[in-house]
Amino acid sequence: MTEAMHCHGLGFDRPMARGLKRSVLKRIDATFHPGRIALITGATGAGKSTLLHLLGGMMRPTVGDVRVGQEAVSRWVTAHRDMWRRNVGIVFQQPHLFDDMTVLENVAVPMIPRGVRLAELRMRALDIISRLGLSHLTCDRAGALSLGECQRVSIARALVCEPSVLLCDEPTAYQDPESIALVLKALADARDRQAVVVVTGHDPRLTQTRFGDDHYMLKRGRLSEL
Amino acid sequence: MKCSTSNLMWIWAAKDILRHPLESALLGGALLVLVVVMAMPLLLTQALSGSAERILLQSPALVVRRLNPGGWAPLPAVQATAAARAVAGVTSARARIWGTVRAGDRTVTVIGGGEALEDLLSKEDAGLLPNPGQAVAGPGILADGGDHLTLQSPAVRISLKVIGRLPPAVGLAAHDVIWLHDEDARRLLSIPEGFASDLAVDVFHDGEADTLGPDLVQAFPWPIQIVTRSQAIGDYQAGYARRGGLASVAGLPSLLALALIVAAVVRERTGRRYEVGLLKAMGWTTRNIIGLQMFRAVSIGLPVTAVGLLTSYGLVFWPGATWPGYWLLGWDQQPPALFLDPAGALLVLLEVGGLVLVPYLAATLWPAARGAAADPQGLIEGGVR
Repeated sequence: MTEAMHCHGLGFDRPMARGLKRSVLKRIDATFHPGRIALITGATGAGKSTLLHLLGGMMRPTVGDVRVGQEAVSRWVTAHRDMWRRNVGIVFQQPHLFDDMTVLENVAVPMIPRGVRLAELRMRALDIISRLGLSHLTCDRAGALSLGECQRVSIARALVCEPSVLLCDEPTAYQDPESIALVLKALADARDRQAVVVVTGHDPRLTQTRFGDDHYMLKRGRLSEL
Repeated sequence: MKCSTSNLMWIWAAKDILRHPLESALLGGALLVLVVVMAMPLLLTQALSGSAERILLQSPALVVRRLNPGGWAPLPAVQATAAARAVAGVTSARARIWGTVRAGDRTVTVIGGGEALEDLLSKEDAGLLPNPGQAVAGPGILADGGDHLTLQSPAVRISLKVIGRLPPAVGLAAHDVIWLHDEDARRLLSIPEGFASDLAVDVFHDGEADTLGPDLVQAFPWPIQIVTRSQAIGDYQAGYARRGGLASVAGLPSLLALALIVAAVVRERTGRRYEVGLLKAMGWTTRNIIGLQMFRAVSIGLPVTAVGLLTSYGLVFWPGATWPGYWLLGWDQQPPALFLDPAGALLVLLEVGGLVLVPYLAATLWPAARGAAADPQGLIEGGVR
């Protein structure tokens, strides 16, 4: 059973030049529940990506912590957070693919250290690639894809291990309406298997489609529930 | 159902190597050349030292030469033999006729009669006794213009017919030796009848050889020089140690090349922080990342080092492989078959393998270990393309 994810007084200061710091997130308290999609909107630079990185254990908060159940995951040592991150699927704002690898290889990368059998690895990768409408690109190099296609490959990569926490930064950016439907369907499937799904974006199409179960607004580093 | 993570890691490491084929090929090639350049002189030095020692162990316990103000002089064979045999502890003494002469543009050793070679030859080969005007040549001697050989000393120049070859089994000892009839050898070396070049003396107990010196000096009515077997082995070993030292000096550029390879690998691995960050974001642990780098490094380093060591081994010990001797020692003829001391060769191979592989593996793993311990976001941002 997936546990809820809590932010307790979460804050993050980004180091600047000459020893200065800029406060990106300010004492955020929120709970993200399994089986629900939390949609966080906000202007560019509001701190949405930083919040996702903190939730995914990609970096440490300056104050406060991220808890899963009773465990303050964000306070764990790097090695433990590395292990825990196996439960997390993350989609970055930029696709961050291995350009010289094929779509299939990119999607398979998270499964390698998990010891998935080769045939199963291939089957799972092909399945998620197909669900995101990328079957015709399976053997193409990622470097040759459009930005929208890259973003969908990155979503497939995040979903392939069926993570219990799915964090998506602007997953509908660069997508046409048909692709958006595929992406939203994939995220809804993750919710239906009781994953914690947190999506950020300022794409009006997300709010227009009434996507998300819980809506938050991030403004000047402060999170408020709508 | 799960399969071993290491199987997938191997596949992924191979994939990673193929992602950068030129870089991988250059790295492999550089390591290969480095291993060969480092291993070959060491193996050759060791092989020469081992072969020489093996031969010298078959040589007489003591060699006695007569000295005169100009250097050495022939000694009267019967009188010298009797004087040596009179010393307590001496079991045998035999007069030998040998010396060095010119054969074309090179210096060769000629031996008169058969006694000097009898320890090295089998019964069948010992039947090859040359008559006057005939010669039996060592494996490293090439007869000029077919089966004839011209030898020249300050006193005389003679042409001989080569009637046979000393078997390759005589090895380094008789590699560039020419075996002549006693009469021809005396003419060439200006040794009168009844005289010999030196005296080969065997003793009852090898350990006594060093202590018999004063007694032998007393026994001869003229000044003598005594060289014991252990002294000869020491001289050879010192000579080969010097060559080994020179080979090591020649190896300094190799070490510099190794340092450059290590620096390049560290730089290249450090430049991959972005990839490490991305892998960590996708659930790879520090252990997984180090494992991948280890598999990658081993996939290149191990086969390349093995091939390099086998190549240098073959170049030194493979019959007919001439150019290491030509390059390192100036041999211009067919090289002698060298004796392989398996334990010694293994030690050299392990030494060179370790010397190259350990820094290379460390250079691969250290940046990976350092990067893998950091937070993934920092790695991605720090190394973002």
